[in-house]
Amino acid sequence: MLSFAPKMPIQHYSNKCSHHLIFCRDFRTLVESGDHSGSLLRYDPSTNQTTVLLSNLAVPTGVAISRDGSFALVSEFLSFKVWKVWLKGPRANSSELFMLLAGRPNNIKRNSRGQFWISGNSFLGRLGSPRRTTLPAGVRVTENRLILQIVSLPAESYKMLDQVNLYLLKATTKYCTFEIP
Amino acid sequence: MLIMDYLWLVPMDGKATQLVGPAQVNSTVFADGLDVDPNTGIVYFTIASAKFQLK
Repeated sequence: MLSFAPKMPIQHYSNKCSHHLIFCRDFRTLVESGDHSGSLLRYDPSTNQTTVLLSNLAVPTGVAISRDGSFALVSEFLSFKVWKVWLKGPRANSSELFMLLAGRPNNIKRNSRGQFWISGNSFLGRLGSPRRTTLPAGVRVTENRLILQIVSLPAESYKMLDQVNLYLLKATTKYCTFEIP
Repeated sequence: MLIMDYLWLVPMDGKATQLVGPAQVNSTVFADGLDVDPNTGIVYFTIASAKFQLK
Protein backbone atom coordinates (compact mmCIF):
# COMPACT_ATOMS: atom_id res chain seq x y z
CA MET A 1 0.00 0.00 0.00
CA LEU A 2 1.16 3.46 -0.78
CA SER A 3 0.18 6.89 0.24
CA PHE A 4 1.67 10.31 0.39
CA ALA A 5 0.70 13.92 0.81
CA PRO A 6 2.06 16.16 -1.94
CA LYS A 7 0.81 19.41 -0.45
CA MET A 8 2.29 18.68 2.92
CA PRO A 9 5.97 18.15 3.65
CA ILE A 10 6.61 15.14 1.44
CA GLN A 11 5.98 11.97 3.32
CA HIS A 12 5.12 8.51 2.28
CA TYR A 13 5.23 5.04 3.59
CA SER A 14 4.59 1.52 2.64
CA ASN A 15 2.33 -0.53 4.78
CA LYS A 16 4.49 -3.58 5.12
CA CYS A 17 1.98 -5.66 6.99
CA SER A 18 0.17 -6.53 3.81
CA HIS A 19 3.46 -6.72 1.98
CA HIS A 20 4.69 -9.15 4.57
CA LEU A 21 1.68 -11.37 4.08
CA ILE A 22 2.05 -11.72 0.37
CA PHE A 23 5.65 -12.72 0.68
CA CYS A 24 4.89 -15.19 3.40
CA ARG A 25 2.20 -16.83 1.33
CA ASP A 26 3.85 -16.83 -2.06
CA PHE A 27 7.46 -16.42 -1.24
CA ARG A 28 8.78 -19.70 -2.57
CA THR A 29 6.69 -19.50 -5.71
CA LEU A 30 7.82 -15.97 -6.25
CA VAL A 31 11.50 -16.73 -5.76
CA GLU A 32 11.41 -19.74 -8.05
CA SER A 33 9.36 -18.00 -10.71
CA GLY A 34 12.15 -15.99 -12.27
CA ASP A 35 9.51 -13.34 -12.72
CA HIS A 36 10.52 -10.39 -14.89
CA SER A 37 7.20 -8.61 -15.16
CA GLY A 38 7.98 -5.70 -12.85
CA SER A 39 8.35 -2.10 -13.92
CA LEU A 40 9.33 1.38 -12.85
CA LEU A 41 6.79 4.11 -13.55
CA ARG A 42 6.71 7.85 -13.43
CA TYR A 43 3.67 9.95 -12.63
CA ASP A 44 3.75 13.65 -13.41
CA PRO A 45 1.02 15.49 -11.46
CA SER A 46 1.25 18.53 -13.74
CA THR A 47 0.23 16.54 -16.80
CA ASN A 48 -1.58 13.72 -15.00
CA GLN A 49 0.37 11.26 -17.11
CA THR A 50 1.82 7.95 -15.99
CA THR A 51 4.63 6.52 -18.08
CA VAL A 52 6.67 3.35 -17.86
CA LEU A 53 10.40 4.07 -17.55
CA LEU A 54 11.71 0.54 -17.23
CA SER A 55 10.06 -2.80 -17.68
CA ASN A 56 11.04 -6.48 -17.45
CA LEU A 57 12.35 -5.99 -13.93
CA ALA A 58 12.76 -8.92 -11.56
CA VAL A 59 10.43 -7.86 -8.76
CA PRO A 60 11.46 -4.25 -8.20
CA THR A 61 10.54 -3.68 -4.59
CA GLY A 62 12.09 -0.32 -3.84
CA VAL A 63 12.82 3.01 -5.46
CA ALA A 64 14.53 6.12 -4.12
CA ILE A 65 15.37 9.33 -5.93
CA SER A 66 18.73 11.02 -5.53
CA ARG A 67 18.83 14.30 -3.66
CA ASP A 68 19.21 16.33 -6.86
CA GLY A 69 16.62 14.28 -8.71
CA SER A 70 19.07 13.23 -11.42
CA PHE A 71 18.76 9.52 -10.87
CA ALA A 72 16.85 6.88 -8.95
CA LEU A 73 17.94 3.63 -7.39
CA VAL A 74 15.72 0.65 -8.02
CA SER A 75 16.07 -2.65 -6.21
CA GLU A 76 15.37 -5.98 -7.87
CA PHE A 77 14.38 -8.49 -5.25
CA LEU A 78 14.94 -11.57 -7.38
CA SER A 79 18.24 -10.61 -8.98
CA PHE A 80 20.04 -9.28 -5.88
CA LYS A 81 20.73 -6.11 -7.84
CA VAL A 82 20.23 -2.41 -7.34
CA TRP A 83 20.03 -0.40 -10.55
CA LYS A 84 20.84 3.23 -11.08
CA VAL A 85 18.32 4.78 -13.44
CA TRP A 86 19.11 8.18 -14.92
CA LEU A 87 16.10 10.48 -14.83
CA LYS A 88 17.57 13.61 -16.38
CA GLY A 89 20.24 14.60 -18.87
CA PRO A 90 21.59 12.81 -21.92
CA ARG A 91 21.44 9.42 -20.22
CA ALA A 92 17.83 9.80 -19.08
CA ASN A 93 15.89 6.55 -18.90
CA SER A 94 19.03 4.45 -19.23
CA SER A 95 20.22 2.32 -16.36
CA GLU A 96 23.42 0.82 -15.03
CA LEU A 97 24.22 -1.61 -12.27
CA PHE A 98 24.64 0.23 -9.00
CA MET A 99 25.29 -2.63 -6.64
CA LEU A 100 25.17 -6.41 -6.51
CA LEU A 101 24.27 -7.57 -3.03
CA ALA A 102 24.73 -10.79 -1.14
CA GLY A 103 21.10 -10.70 -0.10
CA ARG A 104 17.81 -9.80 -1.68
CA PRO A 105 17.32 -6.04 -1.68
CA ASN A 106 13.97 -4.72 -0.70
CA ASN A 107 13.15 -1.16 0.14
CA ILE A 108 15.45 1.82 -0.45
CA LYS A 109 15.25 5.13 1.37
CA ARG A 110 17.29 8.29 0.98
CA ASN A 111 18.34 10.10 4.14
CA SER A 112 18.76 13.84 4.65
CA ARG A 113 22.42 13.61 3.68
CA GLY A 114 21.60 12.15 0.30
CA GLN A 115 22.79 8.70 1.26
CA PHE A 116 20.73 5.59 0.70
CA TRP A 117 19.60 2.89 3.05
CA ILE A 118 19.09 -0.38 1.23
CA SER A 119 17.32 -3.04 3.21
CA GLY A 120 17.63 -6.67 2.35
CA ASN A 121 17.91 -10.23 3.47
CA SER A 122 20.54 -12.89 3.28
CA PHE A 123 19.68 -16.48 3.97
CA LEU A 124 21.35 -19.46 5.53
CA GLY A 125 20.03 -22.85 4.49
CA ARG A 126 18.04 -24.07 1.57
CA LEU A 127 14.72 -22.67 0.51
CA GLY A 128 11.99 -24.61 2.27
CA SER A 129 14.32 -26.06 4.86
CA PRO A 130 13.10 -25.79 8.45
CA ARG A 131 16.59 -24.73 9.41
CA ARG A 132 16.60 -21.88 6.97
CA THR A 133 17.49 -18.63 8.66
CA THR A 134 16.84 -15.13 7.46
CA LEU A 135 19.48 -12.51 8.09
CA PRO A 136 17.90 -9.11 7.67
CA ALA A 137 20.27 -6.22 7.26
CA GLY A 138 20.49 -2.64 6.12
CA VAL A 139 23.28 -1.11 4.07
CA ARG A 140 23.97 2.60 4.01
CA VAL A 141 25.73 3.75 0.84
CA THR A 142 26.70 7.02 -0.78
CA GLU A 143 25.65 8.09 -4.26
CA ASN A 144 29.07 6.83 -5.36
CA ARG A 145 28.50 3.30 -4.07
CA LEU A 146 30.71 3.71 -1.03
CA ILE A 147 29.40 1.48 1.75
CA LEU A 148 29.30 3.44 4.99
CA GLN A 149 27.47 1.13 7.33
CA ILE A 150 25.91 -2.28 7.53
CA VAL A 151 23.38 -2.93 10.23
CA SER A 152 22.52 -6.52 11.00
CA LEU A 153 19.44 -7.50 12.88
CA PRO A 154 18.91 -10.46 15.13
CA ALA A 155 17.53 -13.19 12.90
CA GLU A 156 14.76 -14.07 15.28
CA SER A 157 13.44 -10.54 15.43
CA TYR A 158 12.19 -10.58 11.87
CA LYS A 159 9.24 -12.65 12.99
CA MET A 160 8.02 -9.71 14.98
CA LEU A 161 7.69 -7.11 12.32
CA ASP A 162 6.43 -4.35 14.52
CA GLN A 163 9.31 -4.79 16.86
CA VAL A 164 11.74 -4.80 13.98
CA ASN A 165 10.34 -1.53 12.75
CA LEU A 166 10.47 -0.09 16.20
CA TYR A 167 14.01 -1.26 16.64
CA LEU A 168 15.05 0.31 13.37
CA LEU A 169 13.40 3.58 14.12
CA LYS A 170 15.54 3.80 17.18
CA ALA A 171 18.69 2.05 16.13
CA THR A 172 19.29 3.30 12.62
CA THR A 173 17.43 6.24 11.24
CA LYS A 174 13.85 6.99 10.49
CA TYR A 175 14.73 6.92 6.82
CA CYS A 176 15.34 3.24 6.79
CA THR A 177 12.67 0.61 6.86
CA PHE A 178 13.21 -3.07 6.66
CA GLU A 179 10.83 -5.61 5.31
CA ILE A 180 11.27 -9.27 5.78
CA PRO A 181 9.86 -11.76 3.31
CA MET B 1 -3.58 4.27 -1.20
CA LEU B 2 -5.76 1.30 -1.89
CA ILE B 3 -4.28 -1.28 -4.15
CA MET B 4 -6.67 -3.79 -5.47
CA ASP B 5 -7.08 -3.31 -9.16
CA TYR B 6 -5.68 0.19 -9.28
CA LEU B 7 -3.09 2.39 -7.73
CA TRP B 8 -4.37 5.68 -6.44
CA LEU B 9 -2.70 8.91 -5.57
CA VAL B 10 -4.54 10.51 -2.67
CA PRO B 11 -3.62 14.09 -1.74
CA MET B 12 -4.50 15.13 1.77
CA ASP B 13 -6.91 17.77 0.58
CA GLY B 14 -8.02 16.56 -2.79
CA LYS B 15 -9.66 13.77 -4.64
CA ALA B 16 -7.92 10.60 -5.57
CA THR B 17 -6.10 10.33 -8.86
CA GLN B 18 -5.76 7.04 -10.59
CA LEU B 19 -2.11 6.32 -11.30
CA VAL B 20 -2.39 2.88 -12.71
CA GLY B 21 -5.38 1.13 -14.11
CA PRO B 22 -6.40 -0.98 -17.06
CA ALA B 23 -4.92 1.60 -19.42
CA GLN B 24 -1.42 0.77 -18.22
CA VAL B 25 -1.70 -2.70 -16.81
CA ASN B 26 -4.04 -5.47 -17.80
CA SER B 27 -4.01 -7.33 -14.54
CA THR B 28 -4.01 -6.47 -10.90
CA VAL B 29 -0.87 -4.60 -9.99
CA PHE B 30 1.46 -5.26 -7.13
CA ALA B 31 2.77 -1.78 -6.45
CA ASP B 32 5.57 -1.54 -3.98
CA GLY B 33 8.26 1.13 -3.94
CA LEU B 34 7.48 4.83 -4.13
CA ASP B 35 9.40 8.06 -3.95
CA VAL B 36 8.61 11.65 -4.80
CA ASP B 37 11.03 14.17 -6.26
CA PRO B 38 10.68 16.99 -3.73
CA ASN B 39 11.67 19.58 -6.35
CA THR B 40 9.26 18.61 -9.10
CA GLY B 41 6.59 16.63 -7.32
CA ILE B 42 7.02 13.85 -9.85
CA VAL B 43 6.19 10.45 -8.40
CA TYR B 44 8.29 7.40 -9.15
CA PHE B 45 6.93 4.03 -8.18
CA THR B 46 7.43 0.39 -8.95
CA ILE B 47 5.09 -2.39 -9.85
CA ALA B 48 6.89 -5.37 -8.40
CA SER B 49 5.16 -7.89 -10.59
CA ALA B 50 2.36 -8.05 -13.07
CA LYS B 51 1.88 -11.73 -12.26
CA PHE B 52 2.05 -11.93 -8.52
CA GLN B 53 -0.68 -10.12 -6.71
CA LEU B 54 -1.40 -8.64 -3.37
CA LYS B 55 -3.81 -10.83 -1.50
